[in-house]
Amino acid sequence: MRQTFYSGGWLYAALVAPILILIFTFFYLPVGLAFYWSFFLEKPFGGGSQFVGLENFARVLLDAGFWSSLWRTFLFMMLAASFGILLALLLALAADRGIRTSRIARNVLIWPKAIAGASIGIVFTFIFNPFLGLFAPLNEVFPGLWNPRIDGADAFATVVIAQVWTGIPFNFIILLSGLQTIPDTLIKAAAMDGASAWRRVRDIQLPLLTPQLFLTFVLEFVQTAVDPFGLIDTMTNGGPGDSTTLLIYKIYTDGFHSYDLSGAATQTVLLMLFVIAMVLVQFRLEKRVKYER
Amino acid sequence: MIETTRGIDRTAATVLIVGMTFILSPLVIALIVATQSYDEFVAAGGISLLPGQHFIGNIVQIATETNLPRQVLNSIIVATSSAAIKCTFAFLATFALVFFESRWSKLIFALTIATVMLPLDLIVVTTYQVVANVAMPLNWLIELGWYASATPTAAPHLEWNLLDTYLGIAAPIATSSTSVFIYRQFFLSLPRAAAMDGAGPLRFLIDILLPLSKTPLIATFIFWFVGGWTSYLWPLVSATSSEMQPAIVGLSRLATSEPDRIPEVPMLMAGALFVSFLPVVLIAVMQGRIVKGLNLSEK
Amino acid sequence: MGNTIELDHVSKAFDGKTVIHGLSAAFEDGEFIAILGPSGCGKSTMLSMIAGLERITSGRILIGGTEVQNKAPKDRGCAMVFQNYALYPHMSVRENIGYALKVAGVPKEERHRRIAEAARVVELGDYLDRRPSALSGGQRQRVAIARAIVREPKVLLFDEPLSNLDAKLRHGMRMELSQLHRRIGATSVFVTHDQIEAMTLAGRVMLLNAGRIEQFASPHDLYHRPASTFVASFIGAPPMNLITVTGDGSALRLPDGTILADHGHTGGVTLGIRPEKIVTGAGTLLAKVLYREDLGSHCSLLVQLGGGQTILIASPFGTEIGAFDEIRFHFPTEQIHLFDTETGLRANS
Repeated sequence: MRQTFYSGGWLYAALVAPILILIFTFFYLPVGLAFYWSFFLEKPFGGGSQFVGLENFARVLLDAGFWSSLWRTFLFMMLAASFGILLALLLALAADRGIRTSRIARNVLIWPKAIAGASIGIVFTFIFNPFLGLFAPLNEVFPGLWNPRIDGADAFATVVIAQVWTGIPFNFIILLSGLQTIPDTLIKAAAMDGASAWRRVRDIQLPLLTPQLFLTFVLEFVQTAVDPFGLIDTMTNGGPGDSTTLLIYKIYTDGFHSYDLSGAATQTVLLMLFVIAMVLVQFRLEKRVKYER
Repeated sequence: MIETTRGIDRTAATVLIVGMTFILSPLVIALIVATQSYDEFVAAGGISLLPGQHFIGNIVQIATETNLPRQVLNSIIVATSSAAIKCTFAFLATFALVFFESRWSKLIFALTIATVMLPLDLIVVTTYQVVANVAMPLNWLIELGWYASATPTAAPHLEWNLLDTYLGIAAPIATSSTSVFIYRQFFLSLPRAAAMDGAGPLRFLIDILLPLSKTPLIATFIFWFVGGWTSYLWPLVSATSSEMQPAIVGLSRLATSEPDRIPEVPMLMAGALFVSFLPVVLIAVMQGRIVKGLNLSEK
Repeated sequence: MGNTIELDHVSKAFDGKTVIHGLSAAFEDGEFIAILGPSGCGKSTMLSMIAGLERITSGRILIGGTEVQNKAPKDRGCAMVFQNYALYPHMSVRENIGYALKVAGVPKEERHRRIAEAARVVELGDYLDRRPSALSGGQRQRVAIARAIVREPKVLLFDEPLSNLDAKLRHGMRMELSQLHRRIGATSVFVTHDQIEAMTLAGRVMLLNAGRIEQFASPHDLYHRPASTFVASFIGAPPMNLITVTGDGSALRLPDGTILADHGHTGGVTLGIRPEKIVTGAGTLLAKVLYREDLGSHCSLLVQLGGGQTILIASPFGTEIGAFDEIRFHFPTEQIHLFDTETGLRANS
């Protein structure tokens, strides 16, 4: 860091102490505890813990429910992140053209940021309700065509759609500001070189947008691992069956409804490692396509 | 922009309108249904885009017959305090990290940034344990001391339960330290001269840095305020009584209360709008300043 | 035939504010035209409209006799060199130069041949595989030019291409551009705010002011026969002296009656004379030197006339004159320009 010109000492310590105390207490301690409980078991009749080695991991990894919810989490991440980023990219490209509609769109498209997943989940539950909602007329003609209460795939789709809805604003902001840092003259130069608008998107704008695209993918992967909780809790409660039980929801029910502290902690550890692995893979990929402006 | 491409502008406008429709339609549907009475809603047998006359009635019902007004106040308190903690702590720490010479800075920066990778909701189970007794690490130290000194009596056990308190709900939300990153980028972009007239660190912090940082501070504050407002899983587990629950949790409890009959959809929609009104207005009004202040273009 | 450019009552308005006012002009095939003017005069807008990057509000633009005002940039046969070079940062120099050919679907072999040829013309051979970020300003400039000429365009447009280079490099590039134009022979339009660039490069200079043509003529005429006080004060460094005088049919007098020069004009008029055309050392006028700058080759003297008006004199004999000395000088009648005081337009022929 190039601006340093004060020397350390007490003042330095006092300035960094608050945030360190905060994150050690409410972040690193819980993370550490999750690891702790993944190797220990709570003694049945009150107090204390017992070291059980890898038993917790064995129990979780042998549980088919864990694997299916991990797979669903992965599927959900892929679908929600891809659609969320693709739609946001389309919208950002359109908004970047500086037409009259883009000014209002820039405002409206970030509103979902202010609406909690749990609140919009309630609205979407109603909209997708097979008897009262948007597709109710369709169901009258083709009974049973759409029923997220019975059909697991329908339910999964509703949660993905709701997640895409909530994910658009942030991606849209990042991608649009990325597009706007691309100098106007580059686009003009490409136009003079004979490139059509679509060709300019493909050859100039998208390559120059890679840093922002990577950023959105990293953030989406972290967010889609945990964000859908509010949606699932209000829309499907993980059902029908287990069809929308993502790992984050399973951890919650195991921990707070079944009181299986060690099981929940072990799954937390595995989900943490999964998220970190996904993020690291992306950083590896990003290094390969870097360029200097 | 290259103007000789009317057709493309029309396509762009269409894309934007479709996008806005996707974003707005759930809100519009919620708004229309929120104007209908329960009887009107049941009679229509589903979504009817005919606005009714009962919007005020539904809102009054929300305001008088549910805990939501109180819970909105909880949301304001939790969101404000978590955003305030986030901004203040991160601002002070980033000031130290950028403007002080110290071999610790790299490590501290890494420690704070790592919090971004693992959102709070991921570790609720053990965060719950920590908040149930914040004195836990102290107990470990005491036990260690007791064990070392071989005292025969049982070690004293400290208890400090923050569950169901504003601090206990807000503090874990405040840990995510993205602000450090944003402030750091901003500080590094400042001209060197701003700090070169030999002022002491605190003088410099108060007289120069703080006024210069107004834009990113306001933007991050609003952003984290909205983030605190919309958080759900953590408040759901840490606020056990209805009096302490934030509005989002309160709303979802309303939604799950009556499983068997046709739900009070108009009331729920009114409730969803009721709890979202403040943050949406905040985002809509401050949109430009937020985007500018977060400076997201420079990663 | 030929790659002529014709502007026919071209107007441009942004949000109802007119920035180009019904401008008409014709550029010959192969001509090198400079569009010169102060910032905000509409010169870059003019260039963008020829290129097709900006739509015109009314009027017609013809390139090679064909109306192009409704055509897309790629269908106009123009190539452009931008002020900030506008090189694609994610492409190598080779890809930058060849992008237009690639878009046009030129086969790979031919593409490489033409890239090599363009790179040779601007002397870029060794850098073809580098990224723009690894090049110096002058090298980037060459890449930008190579990219423009590789398509063998009918018209070459330059948008202040030299303004980002340092003074020395700028001089070198000026000579190269001039040679390049002679070799390629494409009709070239060069936008600049630097009169030296305009005067040295162009066959004809279009001087714009607030969206209107002040004068469109050869550099020689611009300097020796300025069409208005605006041109007179814009061209030349230091600029022409402009003095308000009254003619009585035989002489031009200052308000206090001092005779400045012999001339047959009658009535109020603005007298213009270039600082370097004032003859010092002899004559009827006597004035005190307020300020003196020694520039080596000559001296620039600030002199106060009767009535308080100050003028500049550029004198090769300046070194002998000190500040606050009195000097003797006169205005040769054949060097005097007269402008209408109200309209600013040239009044003598």
